[in-house]
Amino acid sequence: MGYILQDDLLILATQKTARHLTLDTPHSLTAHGVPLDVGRPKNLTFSTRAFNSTYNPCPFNLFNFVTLASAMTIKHPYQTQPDKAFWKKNVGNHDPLDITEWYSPKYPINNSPIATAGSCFAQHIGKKLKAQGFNFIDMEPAPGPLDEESYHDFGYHMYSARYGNIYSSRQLVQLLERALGKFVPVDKYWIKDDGFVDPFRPTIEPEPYLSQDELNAHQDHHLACVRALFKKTTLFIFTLGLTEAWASKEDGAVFPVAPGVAGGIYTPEKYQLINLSYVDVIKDLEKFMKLARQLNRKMRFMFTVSPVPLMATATTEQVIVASQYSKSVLRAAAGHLANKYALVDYFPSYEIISSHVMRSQFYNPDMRTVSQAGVHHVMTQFFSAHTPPAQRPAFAKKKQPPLHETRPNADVHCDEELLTVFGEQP
Amino acid sequence: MKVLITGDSHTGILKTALDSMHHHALLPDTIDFSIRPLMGGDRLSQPFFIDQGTHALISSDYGASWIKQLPIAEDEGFFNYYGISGPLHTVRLWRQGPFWKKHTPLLPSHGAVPLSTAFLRHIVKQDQQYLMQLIALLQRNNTQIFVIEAPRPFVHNPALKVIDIDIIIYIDQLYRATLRSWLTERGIAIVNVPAQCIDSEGFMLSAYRHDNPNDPHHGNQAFGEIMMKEIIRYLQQLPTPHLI
Repeated sequence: MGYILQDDLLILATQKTARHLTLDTPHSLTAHGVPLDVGRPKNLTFSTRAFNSTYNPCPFNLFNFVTLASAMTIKHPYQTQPDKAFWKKNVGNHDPLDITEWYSPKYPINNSPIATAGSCFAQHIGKKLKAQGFNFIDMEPAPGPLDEESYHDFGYHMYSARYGNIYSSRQLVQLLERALGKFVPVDKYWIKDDGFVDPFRPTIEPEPYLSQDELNAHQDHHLACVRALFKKTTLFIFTLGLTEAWASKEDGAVFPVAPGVAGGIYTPEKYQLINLSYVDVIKDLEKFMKLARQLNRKMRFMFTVSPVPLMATATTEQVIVASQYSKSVLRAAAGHLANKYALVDYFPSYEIISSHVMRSQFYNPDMRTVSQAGVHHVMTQFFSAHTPPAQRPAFAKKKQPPLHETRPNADVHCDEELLTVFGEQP
Repeated sequence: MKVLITGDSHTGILKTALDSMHHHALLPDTIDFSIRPLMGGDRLSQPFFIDQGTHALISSDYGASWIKQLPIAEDEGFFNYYGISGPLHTVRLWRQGPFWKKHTPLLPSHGAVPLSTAFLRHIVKQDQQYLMQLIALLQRNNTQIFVIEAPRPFVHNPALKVIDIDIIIYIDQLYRATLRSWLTERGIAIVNVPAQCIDSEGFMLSAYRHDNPNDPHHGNQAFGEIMMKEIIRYLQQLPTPHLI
């Protein structure tokens, strides 16, 4: 037996087999004039020059050759790896924007009803999915009269319901538990100024609710929408943001912001910082997925990690170090779950933005927030794997008729009133 | 004292009343009224002027035919006071039948989408944003302003057949309270619809409905005369301006 070494591939061959091969080009292999494309291992490449050096015609058995060749190709595990697996081939000499194959979907999305949640970066994902005509679900759309500029002030059009930012896995699982009545937190409201805010989304409205009754009505409606959302959607995309969270010492309820920041009063006797571990995150997400699947057996999940570093840490660590801990834990947990469960996919938005090969080009000057170009690049990778539907979903905004067609008759009366009294306009 | 009354379509019945009162010599000699509209209320809820620093240039062709700018250009006359009708006209918000079938400001919400007080105040100010900007501009230029309240809801308004009456009352009152609060903060007086025109629930008495039976929200001449008298009463208690 001899061997031929070409590039990264080690090809073993017997003198006897190799002598019966005729090689016109490295990828045009024939034996006695018969093409060997069918049945030839895909990643088996040959060097014309090398084979020619051992060429010596003699009887040939095609079956034996293919069997032998297949066996020869798995002599080491990298031999069958695609180009994307090799730094040199997919990264090394490439412009960062030309790096491809970041993501290989586990399953197609097609027209699946999609819901999104997560830290602030997740807002971009939902917005882009909707713009590209995916079946994005919004259970709490903005009420008609509200101007578009104010949507976010009232928590509309950010995610699939008005839950605001969900930074941690603990917050996510508790949201669903609260919606299902499985968890009733001790903190029902926080006082802010002269009103009341929802501790679990304290910035969802620009001003506090006037009464506890008003807050309760809004909270009940929101949680009903969350229940309906999980029954309706079949793909839940969650962007993991942080591991740090503020929790009630009494019942473990986790809040999106520290008590005292947007309502309530911080006291160390009542609240504490928690910093979720890898195990914590996995347990939270597994619990969440189990609950969600109990509501909807068709539910699948896609996890991403936000590339936006922590704005501040409440630990003793320096903020970059604390941020790296958070992201590492979240990335590892998401990867673990994607490897473990067929219904969990991982989309590498974190890597696409924050990998060192990207030269930080997608961060704004604050080196924290992601630029629109970055969002676009991330979503381009996503859409290259999940082709946007050709047609917009049924819930897409209908074309607005011209204003004169929408004027109520009562407004026409206004014109009549003016014309009657003041006459035709000059 | 020279007074210009301008604003939305409710200026129409004020003008009718003014002409009638003039004919019957019911106007005081000390006040010289001019009533010229801008445009209908729905058009005032869209951009209708350009802030030129010293004045608002009416950019809507519809309004510019009656008034080209506010304050009125000096070569067209001087007015000591400007009465504005429009900021307290609430019907645009509460008459949206399909919307109020799904949403409610009331508690409990009974399955409808609850709307917070903050949200409602926001959309009221959004509806009035251009008139509010105009008022701010006029104040910035030391123009003396007062606001004239529009009629309260009429019970014959078709919206009452499809919208919960409690919602209409709530929205009408919240709308007026929101704008009253804003105007009061800026020291702007309001000439209110007097209690004699309103029933116990806050609706206009049918005696003051427009002569056109299909008109859902304008008052009639009798109402206009009542409002003109209220305006005169308000103006008469103001210090007499120096003649210019």
